[in-house]
Amino acid sequence: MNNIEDLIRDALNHQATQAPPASSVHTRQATRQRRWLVPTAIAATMAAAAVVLYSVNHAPAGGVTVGTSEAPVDWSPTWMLPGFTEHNRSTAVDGSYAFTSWFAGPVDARDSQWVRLNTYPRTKEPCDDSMDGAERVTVAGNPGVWFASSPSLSLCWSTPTGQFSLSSYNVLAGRSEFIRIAESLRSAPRNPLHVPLTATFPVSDHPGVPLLAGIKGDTPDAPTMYLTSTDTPDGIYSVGICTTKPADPLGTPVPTRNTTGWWTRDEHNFEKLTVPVDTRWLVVTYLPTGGHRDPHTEALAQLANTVVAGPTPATPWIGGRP
Amino acid sequence: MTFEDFLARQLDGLLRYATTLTCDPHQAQDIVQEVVLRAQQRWSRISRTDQPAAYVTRMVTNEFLSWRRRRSTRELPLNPADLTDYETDQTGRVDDRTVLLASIATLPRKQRAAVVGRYYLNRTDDEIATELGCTAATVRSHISRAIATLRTRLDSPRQVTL
Repeated sequence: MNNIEDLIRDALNHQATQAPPASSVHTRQATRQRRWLVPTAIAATMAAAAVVLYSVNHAPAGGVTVGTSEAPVDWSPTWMLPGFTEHNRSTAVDGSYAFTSWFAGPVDARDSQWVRLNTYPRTKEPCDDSMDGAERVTVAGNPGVWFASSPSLSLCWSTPTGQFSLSSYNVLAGRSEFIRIAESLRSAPRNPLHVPLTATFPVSDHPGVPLLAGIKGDTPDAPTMYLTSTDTPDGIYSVGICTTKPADPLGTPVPTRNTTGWWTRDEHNFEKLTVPVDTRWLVVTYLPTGGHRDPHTEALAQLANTVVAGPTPATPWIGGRP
Repeated sequence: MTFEDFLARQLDGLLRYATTLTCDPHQAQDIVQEVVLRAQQRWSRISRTDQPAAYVTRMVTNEFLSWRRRRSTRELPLNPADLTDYETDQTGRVDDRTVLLASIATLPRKQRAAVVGRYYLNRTDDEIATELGCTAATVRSHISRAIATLRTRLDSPRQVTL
C-alpha cells in the first residue's frame, strides 16, 4: 500500500476503530430519554414477575452467542385504540427493557400508524418533564408526563416497579386515550415470550451487549422470530426465521449451511441473505452504520451458519386486541 | 422509526465518524452526546426528513466545526513531533498510519472534514460540499491542500523519528 489515498483510507478506518462504545452514549442518554418517553406505572400492587431468561455467551471465535428461552416482564393493556392490532413483542437481551407494538394498517408504510408500550423494569427515576410543552399527569395515582410533538405522542409514568412509556406515530389520539391505555395495564403472566433462537454475532466485547430478541408478524400464522445485534464494529446484523417465503427477489447464490442462500443488496447498502431452513426461511441482514460499502456476503454466510432455531412458537396474540 | 430505533441503528456509526473527525474518542463521545440530545428534542421533525441519518450526521459535522471554535483552548491535537510514545515498526521508523493520523489531527477543521468525507464516508465532492456549506470546487481545494500537507509529513520522517 503506497498510494497516499489508500494510506489515508487505512488510517481513517483504523481511527474509527478507536471510537468509544455506543453503550457509553446510550447510558448517558438513557436516563433523560426514558424520563420523558416512558410514562408508566401502574400500581405498586402489581407483581413484577421479571425473570430474564436470555443468555449471552462469548464464543471462542470472538463473537457473542445469544440464546433465548423465555421472556421478562409481561405487561399488557386491557384496552387499546380502535383499529390497532398487536404486531411485535420484543425484549432487550440484557433485560433492561421490553416493548410491544400495535399497528393500524400497513406496517411497512412510510405513514404507518403505531403505538408502542415500553417497559423499563430497572429504571426508577421519575419521568422528565423538562421538555417544552410537557405536561405533568397522573396515571393510576403515579406521576407521569404527557408530551405531544406531532406526529409523535408519548406518555411516561414511573412506578415503584419501574418506568413505562407509551409512544406513538401518526396516531390521532389524545392524552385521555393514552392515559386510558396506561391505566388498563395489567401484569400478564399469560403466555411468556419464547424465542428459541441462537446465533453468534460478530460483535465486540463491550459489556451490556445491546441485543434484541422478539417475535413479529402481521397474522398469527406467519410469525417471524428474530435477534438483532446493534453492537458490531461496522453495522447492525439481524437474523430472522420466517414461516413464509420472503417476497423479495432471490438475488445472487451464496453457499451456506450446506445449501444455497440468496444474497441481495439495495441502494442503501442494506444486505440480505435468504436461506431455506427445513420448511422455513432464515433471513440474515446487515445494515451499515458508517461509510462501509464493501459487501458483507461472507459475514452474513458465517452468521447464517451459526443460527440454531427451535420450533416457531404459536403466536395467537399477533393480530389480536386486548 | 422511533428515536430509540434510530439510535440503535446509527449510534455506532456516528461515534466512528466523530472519532475520525476529532481524532479523539473522548471528544467524539462528547460531540455525539450533544448531538443525540438535540436530535432527540427535534426528532419529530428529523424523522420526517428523507434521510434522518444524513441529517444527524450533518449535525455531528456542524458540532465538530463549532466545537473546535468554542473549545479550542481545550483541544490538544496530536503533533507529529510529539509521537515519541507511539508504536513504531521494527526499523524504528514511525509507521505511516501513525504519522498520517497525527498529521490529520493538525489539519484545519474544514480540510479534515473534507478528507474524512471523501476517504472515510466515500462521499462525492458535491455531497461533501453540501455537508460543509461550500462549493465542490472548494472541497477539492480543501482536499488537495490536505493531501499536500500529509504527503509532506509522510516524506519527512525525521520529524517523527524516535
